[in-house]
Order: sequence, then C-alpha cells, then structure tokens
Amino acid sequence: MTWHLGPELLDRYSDGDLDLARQSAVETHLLACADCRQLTSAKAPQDLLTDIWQGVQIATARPRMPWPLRLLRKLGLAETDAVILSASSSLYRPWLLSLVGAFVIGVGGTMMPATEQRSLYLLFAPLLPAITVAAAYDATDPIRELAAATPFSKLRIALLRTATVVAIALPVVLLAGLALPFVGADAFAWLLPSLTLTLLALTLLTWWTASVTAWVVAVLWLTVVGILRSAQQLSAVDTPFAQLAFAVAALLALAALAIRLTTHHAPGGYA
Amino acid sequence: MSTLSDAELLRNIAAGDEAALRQLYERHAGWLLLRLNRRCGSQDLVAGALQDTFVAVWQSAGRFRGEGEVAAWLWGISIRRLISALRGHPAADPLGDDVVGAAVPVVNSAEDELLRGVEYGDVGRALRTLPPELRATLQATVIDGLTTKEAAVLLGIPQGTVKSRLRVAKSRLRDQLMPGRTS
Repeated sequence: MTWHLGPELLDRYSDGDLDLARQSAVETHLLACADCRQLTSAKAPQDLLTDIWQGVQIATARPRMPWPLRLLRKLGLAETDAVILSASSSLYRPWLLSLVGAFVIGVGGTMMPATEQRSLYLLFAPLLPAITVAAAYDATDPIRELAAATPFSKLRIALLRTATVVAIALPVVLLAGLALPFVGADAFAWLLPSLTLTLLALTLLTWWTASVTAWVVAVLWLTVVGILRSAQQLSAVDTPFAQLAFAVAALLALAALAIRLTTHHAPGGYA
Repeated sequence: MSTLSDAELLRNIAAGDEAALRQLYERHAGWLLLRLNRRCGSQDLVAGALQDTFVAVWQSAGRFRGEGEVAAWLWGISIRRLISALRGHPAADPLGDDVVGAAVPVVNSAEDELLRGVEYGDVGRALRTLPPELRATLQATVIDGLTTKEAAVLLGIPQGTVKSRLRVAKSRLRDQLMPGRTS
C-alpha cells in the first residue's frame, strides 16, 4: 500500500470537504484497506449508527421455528406456510399428542385379549384425529383474527395443520409398529378409518362450521359402530374387506375435497 | 472472535448467527454511512438504505460469491438500496437478484491502481479540470460501478444525459492524458 488516509484527509472526507478526485481516491482506498475503514468508521455519527442498528434488529428479528417445522421447511414447505403453522403451535402440540394418544390406544388394544372391549377401543380411536381437526379449525384458535385477515383460506390452514401432524406422526407410528414385535397388524386397523374420517371432516368443513362438522362426523361414525355392534360384528373392521372399503371411502373424500378446493375460491376462507 | 475475516462472518451470518451480523455492522456501517452521505443529502434516505443493506445481508449472506472484497460487495448493495429509495420504491424487494447479483465488487486491480494514484498523479489533475457535472457522472459510473440507468436516478438526470456526459468526460480525459491521440 503506497499511502494511507491521514487525520486531515479523514476529517475532510467525513465533512464532505474533498473535491471529487480526492474523494474518489479515498473511497477506492477504503475498499481495499481495513485499517483505514476502521478509522473512517470512527468518524461516523455513532448515535445514528445505534438507531439504524436497532432498525436492523427489528427487521431481522424472527422467532426460531420449532424443530418439526424446520424439518418440514427443509423438505420444501413454503416459508409463509411454515409461519402460519408456527403461529398456531399452541394448537398443533395437543393435536400431535392426540394422534400419538390414538396410536397408543390402538397398540394397547392389540395387547388386550380379543374381547368386545378391545374392539370398542379400536373403534373410537379413529374419531380422535377427525375431532381435533375440527377443533383446530374452530374459534378456539388464538390467531383466528390474524388468519382471517391473511389471504389464507381457513380450510387451507386446517389442511396444512393436518398435513403437518400426519407427516410427523406417520413415520413415528410406522417405525414403532415395525420395531415392536408384539404390535400386530391390528394396531393399524384404525389408521384408514381415521384418515377417511379426517378427510370427510375437511370436506364437510367447506360447507359447514367446525362444530356442526365435528358432530356430524362423530354421529356418523358412532352410527356405524352401533350398527356393527348390534349385528355382533365389531371385529369386522379388521378384515381386509372393511379396510378396502375405508380406502375407497378415503379416496372418494379426497376427490370431493379436491373438487371443492379447485372450484370454490373464497378469499379469507369458508364457513 | 475479532480475528474472523469478513467472508467468514458472512458465512456465519448465512448460518443464522446474529452476533456475526452485529460484528459485520460494527466493522462496516460507519464508513458506509459516510460514503452514502457523500451521495445523498437526505439523512433519512441514507439511514433507510443502510438499514436495508444489513437486512439484505442477513437474508442473503449466502449469496456472497466469496470472491473480491466484502466491503465492495456491501457498498454495491447499499448504493443500490439508496438508488431504489430515491426512485420512490423504498418498499421494493430489497433482495432481488438484480440487486444482490449486480453488487459484485466494483474495483478491479487496474482501476484500483489508477485511482490510488489519483491523489497525486496525472489522472487527479485531469479530473480536477473537468466541470463538476462531468466529474459526478464519472464518479457514479466508474467509482460506484453503476449502470447508466442507476446513475441517472442517483444524479437526478435523464439516462441519455448520463451517456452523453460520460462520452464528453472520457474524451476530455483522453485528450489530457494522451495528447496527440485521436479517437
């Protein structure tokens, strides 16, 4: 380096008192010389710099997302969707718990002797996720006002939440099922009915309010259970035929939901 | 901590290290502020541009290509943030590829050597003979590395005027520095 900025040159630069040629020389030198940058920076108004830094802090402050969402972000979830999900974290935790709880009930059921009680357990387990979807959709949402003002439809938010829980819970459930030898195929018997009911709830939510939907789904399922019970056929849910029927019903519900979503664009949400 | 280079700080910032952003700010905000003050009289616009710059750095530090001076990269971003504010679009996307991508170091070694010699050499004398508006145009395009379009916004003149002034300035410099040669 042939020369550095002397005190006089620095003062004149910070006062804007240099002609353009000298100013350009100073600026070019600054880009290449960290020592002179440091000296120059000391001449800048420190109060203003503190103010600007506070502005930077406010603009860059973002709450750290919980790990399940960071995982989903890495898997390609859009940032706006992740923000919506993390804002409602107070909801998705109990939801995750309820799903895990449903699985525990299912596993517990398979370990019980094959009585009618066990079958009842398995029959009520599928209702849990469907009811929690409806509950999450309902007015208990602490960010409901906020969400209503966003271009997200409420259904989309509900779908996102469902997808989040399923994406996180399903691998756990499957791994647990594979790792534990005493968990038979029965434990998964409730998975398909559960999926069917959840999809049905989501579809109905495009027409009705959350509480109505929850009741309709619950009553519908209980009716099915009641009919099976009176016919002494409760264990029929475990049969391949019943599982196939649930799979078909789930696909139908999914198709209906897809049609509703693509043909009915209501900004701000349904219901 | 203080021994980390600017490029290393940028890597840490890209990984979400807020302390690294703070450190980069302390190193560079001062001189950037002074240099922006030399380009624009409005303290508000300058402060906004500087803030935008470091927000942009926070969000896209990973886009620094790792070549050239971080200081020059930062200057490239901040002068373009200032120009964007001057255009009256302060809320425009501060992170467009056009901004960050265009903010490559503006100094190559030849210009560097030339301009370091400006203080005492022939170029400095020649520059001083130019009328102020021609010098300002040269500064915006050569020193700041702006396009004619960006320079037009910064100087508040039409793009065509920037081009014509640049042409005049270059030919005058050529006449002074290389007398006898015709273009």
